[in-house]
Amino acid sequence: MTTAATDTSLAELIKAKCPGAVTGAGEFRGETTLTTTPENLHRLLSTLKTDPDLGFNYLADIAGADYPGRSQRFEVNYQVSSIPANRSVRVKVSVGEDEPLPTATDVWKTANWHEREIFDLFGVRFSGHPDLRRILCPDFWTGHPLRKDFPLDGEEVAFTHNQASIVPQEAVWKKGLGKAEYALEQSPADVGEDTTMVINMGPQHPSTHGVLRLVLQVDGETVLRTIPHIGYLHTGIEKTAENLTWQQAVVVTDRMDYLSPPTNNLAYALAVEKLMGIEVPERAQDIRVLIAELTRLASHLIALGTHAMELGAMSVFFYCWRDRELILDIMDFLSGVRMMTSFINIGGVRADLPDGFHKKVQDFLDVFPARVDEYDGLLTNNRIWEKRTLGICVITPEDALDYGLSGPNIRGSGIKWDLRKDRPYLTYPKYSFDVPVGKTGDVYDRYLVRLEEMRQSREICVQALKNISPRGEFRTADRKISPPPKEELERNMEALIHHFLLYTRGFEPPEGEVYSTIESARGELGIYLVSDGSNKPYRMHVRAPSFVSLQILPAICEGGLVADVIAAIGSLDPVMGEVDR
Amino acid sequence: MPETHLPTQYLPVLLLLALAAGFVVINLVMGSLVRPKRPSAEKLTPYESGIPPIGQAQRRFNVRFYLVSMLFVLFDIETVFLYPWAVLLKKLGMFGFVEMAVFIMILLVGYGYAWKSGALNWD
Amino acid sequence: MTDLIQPIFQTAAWVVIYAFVPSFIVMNAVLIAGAFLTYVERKVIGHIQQRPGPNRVGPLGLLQPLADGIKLLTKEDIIPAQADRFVFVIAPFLSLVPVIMAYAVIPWGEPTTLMGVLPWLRVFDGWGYIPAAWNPFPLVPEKATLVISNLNIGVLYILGMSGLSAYGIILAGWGSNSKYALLGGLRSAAQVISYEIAMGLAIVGTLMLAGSLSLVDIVRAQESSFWYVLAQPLGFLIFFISGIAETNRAPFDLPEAESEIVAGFHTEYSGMRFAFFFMAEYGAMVIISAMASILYLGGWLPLQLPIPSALPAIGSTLAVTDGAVRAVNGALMAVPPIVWMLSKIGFFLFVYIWLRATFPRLRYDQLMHLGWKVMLPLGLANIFVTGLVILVKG
Repeated sequence: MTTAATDTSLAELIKAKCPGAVTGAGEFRGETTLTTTPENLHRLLSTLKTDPDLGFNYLADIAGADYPGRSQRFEVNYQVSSIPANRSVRVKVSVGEDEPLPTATDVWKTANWHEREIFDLFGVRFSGHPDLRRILCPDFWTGHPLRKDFPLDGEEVAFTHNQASIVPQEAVWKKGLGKAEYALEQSPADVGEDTTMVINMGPQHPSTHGVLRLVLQVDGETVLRTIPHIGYLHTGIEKTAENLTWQQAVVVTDRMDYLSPPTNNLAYALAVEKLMGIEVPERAQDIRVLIAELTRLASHLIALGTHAMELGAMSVFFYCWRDRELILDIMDFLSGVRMMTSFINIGGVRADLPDGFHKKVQDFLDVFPARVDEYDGLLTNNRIWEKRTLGICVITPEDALDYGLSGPNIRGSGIKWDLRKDRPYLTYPKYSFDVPVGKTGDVYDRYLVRLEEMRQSREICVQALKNISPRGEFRTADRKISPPPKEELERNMEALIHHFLLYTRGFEPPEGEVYSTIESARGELGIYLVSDGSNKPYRMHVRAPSFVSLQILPAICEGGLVADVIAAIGSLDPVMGEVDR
Repeated sequence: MPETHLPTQYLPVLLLLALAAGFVVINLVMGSLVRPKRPSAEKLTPYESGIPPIGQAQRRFNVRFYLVSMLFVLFDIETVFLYPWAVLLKKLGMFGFVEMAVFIMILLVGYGYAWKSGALNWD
Repeated sequence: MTDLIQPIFQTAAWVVIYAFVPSFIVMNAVLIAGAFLTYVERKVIGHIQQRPGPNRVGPLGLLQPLADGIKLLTKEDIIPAQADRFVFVIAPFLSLVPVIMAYAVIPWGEPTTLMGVLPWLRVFDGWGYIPAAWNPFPLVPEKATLVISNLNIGVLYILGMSGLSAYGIILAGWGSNSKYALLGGLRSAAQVISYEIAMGLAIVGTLMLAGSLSLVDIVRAQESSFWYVLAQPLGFLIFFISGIAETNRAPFDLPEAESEIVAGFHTEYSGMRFAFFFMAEYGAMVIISAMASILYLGGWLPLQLPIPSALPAIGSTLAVTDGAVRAVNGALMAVPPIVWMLSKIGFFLFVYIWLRATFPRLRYDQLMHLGWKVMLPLGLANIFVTGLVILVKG
């Protein structure tokens, strides 16, 4: 990761601060991993957070992994960072099937959903967790899908002909309500003792950004409680990736954050390249930067457009859509696909730039500043817009860190944390751009941050476009992952066999694990990869920024009005494909 | 027909009522002849974002709404008092104006009280 | 025999000529205009948003309202199982009928001979086939008044009708037995009654100037003085803003704020019943626009520019002669009054649509705050100042 993190003295320091807790320390690809035991886990984690010399105030991710052969079959990995000091460490703990782990929710609030996810998908229980129930799978699900022994075709799909024989819909619904609503159902709220009402917002609702479901308890228009339910779009992308070869798995990453697919490709490709220790040519990196920033523009345009429409400014939505279309045209021109491009893959990008690419991008970059100014003019000083967003759903910097927010959401709260600057990847250090931050952390600030980020991204695009020559290297020449050039295939038998193997078996990275992050349009998009030396990822876990940021929703909605819930969702900009994966 | 007689003035109004009602009824009847009728249990459940609703919707609700209606009655009556006064203001002169100012002042005291006590705040 | 039947015949003929014909014409005109307004709205908003709007059904998509009407007529009519059937059924009725009834007092123009048709009808003898005693045509007025009924309490009547329309909305919200509908219905009721007060107060200023509640008299009063928007700019603003809120239109469209409460009070309605709510909304928009035109922009009166020499302060600095202004005024005079009235209404309707395309939506508490804490005091202050000025000046 960064130089600070690779410092072996960090492991020594932690060992000294928390004696006896660390049973082992290792390093791979610049990442420090500390091993501990379930008994010592909680002590180690709280020391990491509270000790003034360590100050690991940010829990980025918790990833589970299943090793059925081991005596303690599950492994849980905590990715912990310190934001001011910009260093990170991984805490690894092994736990048996019936053994509970202590919860980390009292150390970092963000641990809540991560632990629920591991409980849901692996069946690891966390003692002391306030609300340990399934999160991605429905409550009536049996089994834990990410276990290696879970059958791949276990679920019978309901069609008209077998509908009755599977599970009666009514029963599924009833069960699907979940514990939280059962509690609400039995509360006096529903027997008419008071004036509160339980109301379902989503999954079929115009402004829950897809299939987010919120159970609101309201008194008149005031929201007393918000209980988010996710998982309606859970497609098992992690499990799918674990059953594809490394290069094939690029394609499933497109489907996560469907508003910025190339960024997902990039995150995954960078993780695999880190795992294998491959360098990508600089030109390919510049192309990746350009694509990533165009994608960020497209994504922010939708964030702005939908947010504005949900607050009633209908025209802004259409204008944003118009401009996003220009970016999708560029993607189409580049890769033949508008959205799910898979253009960035392991080793570089899939093909060289088409003729006329520079002009097409330049045309877009020329018109774009005026468009941003137009949105600025329509919204920023609009009295109604200000009334709807200023001081609404404030996230304090402390909460932002505690809940593990990232991207525009944490920057809206005034914390200058941008992975493009703080954990540089690709050729970002070459480019000059500002990282805008907000002051109060309200909806308005998050809106302003995104607006300014669009301007900055455009600057990066302009610089990147100048750097990229129309023709040149676009993939690594490393034969481990790149096929031999065509001329060689025609003359050399070994090359032909190698080509064949590369496209049938795929390549085999060395054994090891990495956690690689990029700054996607929504924040820290992390990929945790475990390789067992085979041609498929042993474990692929995604730290989805939307999944993490959505957790804060109940906290910021409480006491507000129903309309503020909408403003809050829009300002957090979740993409359900990424949340549910 | 005497044009100034009250009922003749209101006769067209009543006729318009009959016509409007007729329009609504005819449309519904006409529609019922052509439209399909295939109700099912799912169709007949109230919409709540695709989830079966929890509890009834016809229930007691927040007292704020009631307060607003009380205030409405109060101020609407005031407005109604103002109308004949406004029409006749030129005839009533300064005396009428002061008289009404006193009336409004009394109401303003109530308005100020409602404001102070937070009846006009939603939260 | 004839002596007995003839008065009955005469009365019936009178009713047909003076009540049925105008009512029938106005009602149908309003309903067709309302349907067409949905087309105009979609087209205008479409162009504001850089898209074509409806353009498939008929030339320029002009038959879209017809297609919508047929579609809604043939849609299944769903009444939720848990709904209060009677309330559910009566609600759209209560919403639409008062809106149509409100049109009874709207004057559309000067009394007119309908380009000479009426005098001709009056003397029509039925080519000699109808006996003079049975001929209804002499009952035809010499000039049609272009108002169904010039009630002397016209303004109050319209306020009453728009208040009645709120019943439909709240009953729809309650009767549906759906939470989104209930929230929408409550929002709407609270909103409509809050803004009805502000609107009522704003009108008082105009009434003081005109000295009458009859809409025809209010226009006549402006003929002899000036358009009241000049004397009542504040009242005009309060009236129009309250009017937008009262008709539940953006940026005050909270009762049907689709991003919050889906479709609000008409969430559970389908087919024709749903269409009635829509007609009521668009009908109310036209009423508010017509009221704004009559109360503040002189109704059917043509626009007249001031004569430069009559303006002592700036008249001499203007580079136009009295003659040129008089010529323009003459041309404006030549435009038929009903065209003026309809153009003014059209202008306000355009503003309605324009606002919808431009503004975000207010939040509920902010809406109530604006109504009770801003509009109401301003309305009272407006009355006070207007009264004082009238008394001091004359």
